[in-house]
Amino acid sequence: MRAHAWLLCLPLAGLLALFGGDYHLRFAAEILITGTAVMSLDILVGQGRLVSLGHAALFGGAAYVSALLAIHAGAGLMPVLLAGIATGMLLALVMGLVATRSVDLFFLILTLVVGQMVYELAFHWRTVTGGADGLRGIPALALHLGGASWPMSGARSLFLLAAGLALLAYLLARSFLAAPIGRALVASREQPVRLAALGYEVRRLRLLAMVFAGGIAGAAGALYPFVNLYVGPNLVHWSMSATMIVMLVLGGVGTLHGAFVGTGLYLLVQTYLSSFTDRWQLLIGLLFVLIVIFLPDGIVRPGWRRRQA
Amino acid sequence: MNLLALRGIRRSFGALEVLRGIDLDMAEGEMLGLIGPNGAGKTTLFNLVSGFLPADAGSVAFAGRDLQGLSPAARARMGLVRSFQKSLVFPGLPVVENLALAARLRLGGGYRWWRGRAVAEEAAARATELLDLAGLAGKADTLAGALPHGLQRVLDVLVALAQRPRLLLLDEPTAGLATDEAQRLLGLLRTVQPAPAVLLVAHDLDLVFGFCQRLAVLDLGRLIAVGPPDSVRADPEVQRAYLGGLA
Repeated sequence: MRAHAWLLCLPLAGLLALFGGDYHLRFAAEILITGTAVMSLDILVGQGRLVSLGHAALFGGAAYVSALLAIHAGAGLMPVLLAGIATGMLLALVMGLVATRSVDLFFLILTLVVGQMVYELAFHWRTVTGGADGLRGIPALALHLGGASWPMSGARSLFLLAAGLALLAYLLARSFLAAPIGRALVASREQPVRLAALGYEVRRLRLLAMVFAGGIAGAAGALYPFVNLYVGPNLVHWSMSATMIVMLVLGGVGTLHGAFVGTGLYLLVQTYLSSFTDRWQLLIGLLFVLIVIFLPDGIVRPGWRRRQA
Repeated sequence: MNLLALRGIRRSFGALEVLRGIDLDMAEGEMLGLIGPNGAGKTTLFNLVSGFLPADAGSVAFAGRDLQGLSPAARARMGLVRSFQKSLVFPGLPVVENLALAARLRLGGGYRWWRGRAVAEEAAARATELLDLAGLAGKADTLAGALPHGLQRVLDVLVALAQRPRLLLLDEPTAGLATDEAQRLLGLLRTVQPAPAVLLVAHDLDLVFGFCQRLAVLDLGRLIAVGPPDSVRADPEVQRAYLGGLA
């Protein structure tokens, strides 16, 4: 699937917005929001070869902050969005300062460690985060402008909001990757030593990419509580980061739009197959193996990889 | 003032003393050949000067500034740029982007989150100029990884030149090239503007003697001769230690 085939998605999204029921609209919003977070992970994994097991902490951390602001301060769309972006970027900065000293396995481990610190905070700080019970009773989202207020809690509004966020995030990510910093990030994946010998601070590049990706993940996390109506510690657990990686691999690493496809596939299987069997994760695993074997570049880049002689 | 000044450089790996007190100066725009048998310490010296390896003792000054503690990237931004024995181009990027990447950093736009028209145009102009000079204009949009070995070596040097270095450390840039290809590549270094000083390591002695104004001969971690090609060629210690008395 070429990137501009995305244009086909616009009429589909329009039809869904016009005729979709509440359940399907919320489900599509969840795919778009989670897909946006997975796409932000693709900037790191696909372009910088920075495989993070802490990305869910950025997404989930922003979701917690957004939910807390809404619950305790009645914050509307813009404050929660800005707070989510700031949270994602700040957590990414902290994670990056620790993890960008390393690459490959050690980067993976360090992001896991920092991510699990966020999990520990979410799990044990019961008075604020609700501990294992998480946060419920998320108030309805509204957009406050001047003295006026528009409710945005309906399924259709949330879907349109999620679609708008996904589109904007996608365009921003494309622009980032086409910019000098994005090209340098690709170069740092291929020849980091040479890049340093030309004068680039490779660690700074990776840190900036993490902060940018954290901002996008944070924006997605900010909307998540209003669609899911619950935020729990599992959202910041390393296993959620691993799930995001699985979603990314299913769709296609390094494509950006593949993140949405992979997320959609994963959540569809999870939602629909789990009503038939408790062993839906086994099916996901099987699907993952088949895709890795037969479509190693992901669903959005079909084509059988020739066997090496 | 010397562009590069090495004083008392020492470096050991365990019990093995690889560099034993190197003193060497280079002038702006000079082409200096660094020769010596395998294991003489040439690449170690490159790594020390470019900041990839710390010295045990001694100092490296570039344009009058002590480089102690500066990272390889910081040294490169000062204009001290190196290549590696193995050609290290960015294989997944087009040839022109390999060059623009280096040029953009020099122009202050390497980390920008937006395209920035002025920097992009100037970087593209530098890339085009170098590709024209090397006769590679037709390969601008080819992925660097798809180039044949010889052209990758040329691109490797062009990438370093795109950064507009004041001093270029070239570690066997002609390895694996035919003689005429190697001559063309080194010829580039004389025609490119602004012309950098070049510290060149190469095993093809005819090439080094032909292109460099001065030579430094390294043997077992010591500089045994430094001077114009003719005097180095005639030096008895060089003949004994490096040329085997055949010159």
